Amino acid sequence: MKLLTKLNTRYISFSLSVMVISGILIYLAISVVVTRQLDEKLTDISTRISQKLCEGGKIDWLQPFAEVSEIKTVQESSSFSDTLIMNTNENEMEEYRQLAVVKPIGRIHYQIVVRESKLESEDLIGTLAGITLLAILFLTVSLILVNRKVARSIWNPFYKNLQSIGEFSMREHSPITLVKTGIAEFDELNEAVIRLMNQIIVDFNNLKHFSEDASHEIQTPLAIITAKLESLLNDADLNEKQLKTIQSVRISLHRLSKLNKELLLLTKIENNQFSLVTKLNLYHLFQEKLDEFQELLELKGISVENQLTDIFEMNGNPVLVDLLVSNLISNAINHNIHGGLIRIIHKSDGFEILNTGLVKISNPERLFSRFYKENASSNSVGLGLSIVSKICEVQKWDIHYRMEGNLHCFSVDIPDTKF
Amino acid sequence: MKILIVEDEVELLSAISNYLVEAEFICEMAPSFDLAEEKISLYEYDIILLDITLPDGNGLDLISSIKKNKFKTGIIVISAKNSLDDKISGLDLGADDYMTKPFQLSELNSRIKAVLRRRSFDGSELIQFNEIEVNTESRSVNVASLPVLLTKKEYDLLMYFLVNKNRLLTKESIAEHLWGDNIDLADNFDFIYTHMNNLRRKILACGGNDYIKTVYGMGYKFTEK
Repeated sequence: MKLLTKLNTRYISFSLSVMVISGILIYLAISVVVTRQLDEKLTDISTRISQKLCEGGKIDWLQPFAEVSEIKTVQESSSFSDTLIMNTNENEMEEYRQLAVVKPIGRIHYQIVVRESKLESEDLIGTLAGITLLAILFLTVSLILVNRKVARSIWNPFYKNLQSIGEFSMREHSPITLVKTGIAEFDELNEAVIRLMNQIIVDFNNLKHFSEDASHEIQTPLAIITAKLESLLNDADLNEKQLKTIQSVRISLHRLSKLNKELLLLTKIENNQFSLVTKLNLYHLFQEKLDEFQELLELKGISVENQLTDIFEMNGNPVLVDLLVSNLISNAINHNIHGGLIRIIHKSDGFEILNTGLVKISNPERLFSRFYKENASSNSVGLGLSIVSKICEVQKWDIHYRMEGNLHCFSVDIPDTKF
Repeated sequence: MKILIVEDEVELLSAISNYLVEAEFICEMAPSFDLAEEKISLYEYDIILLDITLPDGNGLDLISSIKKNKFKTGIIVISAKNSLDDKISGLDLGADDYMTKPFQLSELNSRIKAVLRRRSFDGSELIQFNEIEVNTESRSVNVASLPVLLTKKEYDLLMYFLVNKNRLLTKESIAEHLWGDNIDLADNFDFIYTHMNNLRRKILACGGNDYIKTVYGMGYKFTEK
């Protein structure tokens, strides 16, 4: 639920309950006041009647507004009460307020009953209460509307900032910029966010540089070991056992340096160091790479069906796309069978490379993760496909793997390109 | 032929230097930017091997000054960074070649020779080894005065051997020299074997000797002995 909606519902429900309670209170207060007014009037009338009786005057009385009767009771009393009396004209019961006073005048005890219709006062109460309620209602509604409008303009920079925080990406090198709100709390929040973001950017960059620097630093000792081993090989008269040992050291060394190079490459791709974009012809690129791999293809007796056409053009970074194609082909060759097949087909929004292979992949979902090797004894370092998927990610392409019949299929979607 | 090696890692510096001295180069070493700058201004070198990440300066800065004053000097950049930017700016500034650490010394040697061949305007393009004669300009090979038709790979292989005579060349270094490091290593050994045999066969067919010795499990050596 949006903050504004939430606030408004709270406001409305609160105002409604306040309105109900204040309505009741107003009604009660007005009716108390009106009743007191009535009572005063009745007292006044009854006093005047008793004065007139004292003077021995004759009382003209009108039912049901005033009634004077002689009674035997000696107890002097005066009491207010509400009563219902039939209105003969309209033939319905009407509510009256009455004052019954028992008063001795001379020797005679009189009972004086004065009544006043409550109809008018009820109308008054109703009207007053109605007007007040309307006023409150109007006030509430206008307050909500104003509040909403004001809140919207006050919260607007907040929402803008929220959006820019949401759109912030570590990959873009631009630092985050937030709109100044002029509201202390929001500005404080902005400051905190910017501080946090800057810290994250610094840490992220440190980490990025750390991986890159570490890989670089590893290169030099690797170079020394390689050079020294090579000297050792040429310097001494080594026996077969020693040669074997050196050879296995060399193979591990080669793996290590290849691994390091690929990690470095992966870091560089992640660090967006390949940002140049040019028009590329995928058909020519594939053809070129297939030529490079020609010997390997012949050795393994793999036949290639390149169904791409000359018009296969799209935008991309030349180095990255070159690597992508090269890695995909090399993957298709390395995991192929003798006398197998590689088929490159184009589809409306990209291309697919299919190859025959030995077995079904047991963990297709992990195929693109780093250091994943389907076959643990394999010679590869397990970074080729993660480089491919990283390249697709930074180029905003999509890559999927699936089995199509007995063919392993890597499908690359290139958005915004139609063939 | 005089070479200046600019490299701050002393161990690597000495390994390179030892190797090149054995390959009959005169080597001088400069482990820092300042020393390199000084030596470059004082002496003439045929080749300068340049590490671009030096503790007291960027090796790339040396390239332009070398190019300005000593245009005949060949430059090979050695770097731990295989970042493309460095490679491109290095080559743009006038470096002749670019190598990424770690590298094989035999490969370095072969690159040095290649740069020297390209740069020596007056030098001969003929490489002679007993009955084998290679014209590096026309890329043609004669064995005992008979022309031998070699494929590109066989030619590259022969050149690699001739440049690194009497050296044990490992299968990895041969594979890397012929195919770069793009292709997975294990599969390349069979190619090497095929190309090696073809080369041997072609030389023998013209009455040449078999100079290619197999060193058990390791690689090959091109030697008279």
